[in-house]
Amino acid sequence: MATRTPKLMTVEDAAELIRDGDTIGIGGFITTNKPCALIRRLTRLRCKHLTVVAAPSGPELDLMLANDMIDRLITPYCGAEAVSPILPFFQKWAGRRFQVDEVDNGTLIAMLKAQIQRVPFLPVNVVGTSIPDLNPRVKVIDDPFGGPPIAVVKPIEIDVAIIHATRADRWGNVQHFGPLFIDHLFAQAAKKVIVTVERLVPNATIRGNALLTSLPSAFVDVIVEAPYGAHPGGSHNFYRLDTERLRMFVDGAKAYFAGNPEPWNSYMELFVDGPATHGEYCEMVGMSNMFKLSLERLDEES
Amino acid sequence: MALANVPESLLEAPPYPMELMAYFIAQQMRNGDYVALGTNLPVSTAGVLLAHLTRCPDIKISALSYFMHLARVERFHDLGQVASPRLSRWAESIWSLDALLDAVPRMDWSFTGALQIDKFGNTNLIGVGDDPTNLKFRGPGSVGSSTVAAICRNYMIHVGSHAPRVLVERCDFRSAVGFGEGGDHRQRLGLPGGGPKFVITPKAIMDFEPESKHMRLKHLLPGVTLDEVVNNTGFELMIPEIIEEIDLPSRKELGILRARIDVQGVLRR
Repeated sequence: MATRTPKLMTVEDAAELIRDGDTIGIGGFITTNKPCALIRRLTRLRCKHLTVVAAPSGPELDLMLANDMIDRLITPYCGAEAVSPILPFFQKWAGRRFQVDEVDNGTLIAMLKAQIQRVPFLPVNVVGTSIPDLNPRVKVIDDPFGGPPIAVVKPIEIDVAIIHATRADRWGNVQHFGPLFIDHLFAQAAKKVIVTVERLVPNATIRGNALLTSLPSAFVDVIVEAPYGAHPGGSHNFYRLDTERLRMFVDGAKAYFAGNPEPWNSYMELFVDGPATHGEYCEMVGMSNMFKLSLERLDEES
Repeated sequence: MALANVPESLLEAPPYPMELMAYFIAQQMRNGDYVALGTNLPVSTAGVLLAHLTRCPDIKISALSYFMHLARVERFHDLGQVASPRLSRWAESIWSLDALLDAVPRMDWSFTGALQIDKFGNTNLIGVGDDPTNLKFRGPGSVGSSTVAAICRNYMIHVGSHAPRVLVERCDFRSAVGFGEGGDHRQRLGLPGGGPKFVITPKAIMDFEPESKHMRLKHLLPGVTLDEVVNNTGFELMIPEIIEEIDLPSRKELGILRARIDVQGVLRR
């Protein structure tokens, strides 16, 4: 009997699948379930000329912008909520060092669905906003059914989608213990899909609760076991946002724009260029610091 | 369910502007309404929760992906993060973002902030300036506001300062359409939702005159003069013949707001 092929790779090897000039899709939502380990690796490699299509984004995107990796950005949001409502590199360099194709969540979703469904465009309710003026993929056309002019959005081809989820088996069946956000749309739209997970589990565990399977193996090319792979953001059911290290990022970036590049350079060295692997990154942060982010601790602090 | 003893000292200070803004929002809620809470919008979150914990046990809350019934939560630890791991444990259902978007036509209320708001309730989260490749100030992005504002039954706009740079004659960019160029422009654009209902600032509450859809003063917050509002609005605000007094929260409501909802005191600044 022929054997089924496992889809396992390391963070370091998976990052090599992304090439300069690729269009990549990034799942998650703001500071939750972002594939940060993989993005740190891409940043260490200084991937260039990327087009990034992303769900609402946080510091992982700002890190890429800081390192001039992105030529064109399509995302509805780049901030970190109360800690930094608008992230510094996005705020200072948008339109100057990289192009922003303006979207809101609805426009981004329609863009992905148009790609999934292989239709030339899908209508969106953004007529009257600036989005058609600020995004070459959005146009206002006559309604063939006689209604007022309607905005439509063109599909986008995505070379590689990168997603972080809770657990998976070696064959590529993925389970999210929390919201999918638009991860399933990225998985369906992209030519290649890489999913980092907190835990690798046996196939029997997946089958034990198939209702939880959010991305079946048919939509997944690579599984990367990366515990704490969404750090310094949070990960469903495992850990929450590391506000302390998020602040180090934001403070370093703000100092950079205030004319003092030193804190930013040390941030880059400590968090990105120093650790050679994701394992070394976790050791650098320190497991006792990681464990402080455990969700169970919320009760103790109540 | 109320906390047994709200310390007297917690009730000493009269309501702060952001508490009054939240209280106004609370009063607009009806029991059974379907309401979406936004991230980093503590004023509207507090307002909806105050209604939920007092008059409106059947409010249906969606906070991002989570549908939650929160009336039994004793204390809210972080008003800025309604979708936090602590609160998401109250979720009764979890939806993806595209499914949530499909639910917006049934939504009674949503909330948005803005860098700029114009006299017809159009809002801007994109940026300030005229050249998109060289903005004076880049905003965070439209997030969900463009589509939600187009479809939602009603929404409110609230901002942290009432100033001419915020309340402008014309937005530099529009992330969400309020009433477009005014009058029936919103209908002519074919946008299905009802549009913005109120604009809430630390100085005043505004609504829209029904025919022209021009922004109109409704209430002044206590201690704020009409001149102060007029001088800090970057366009000609419609002033009604009678400016109604704003309702103030009772001691009991203020106690719930301070002891259960706004534990961190983010509205008491």
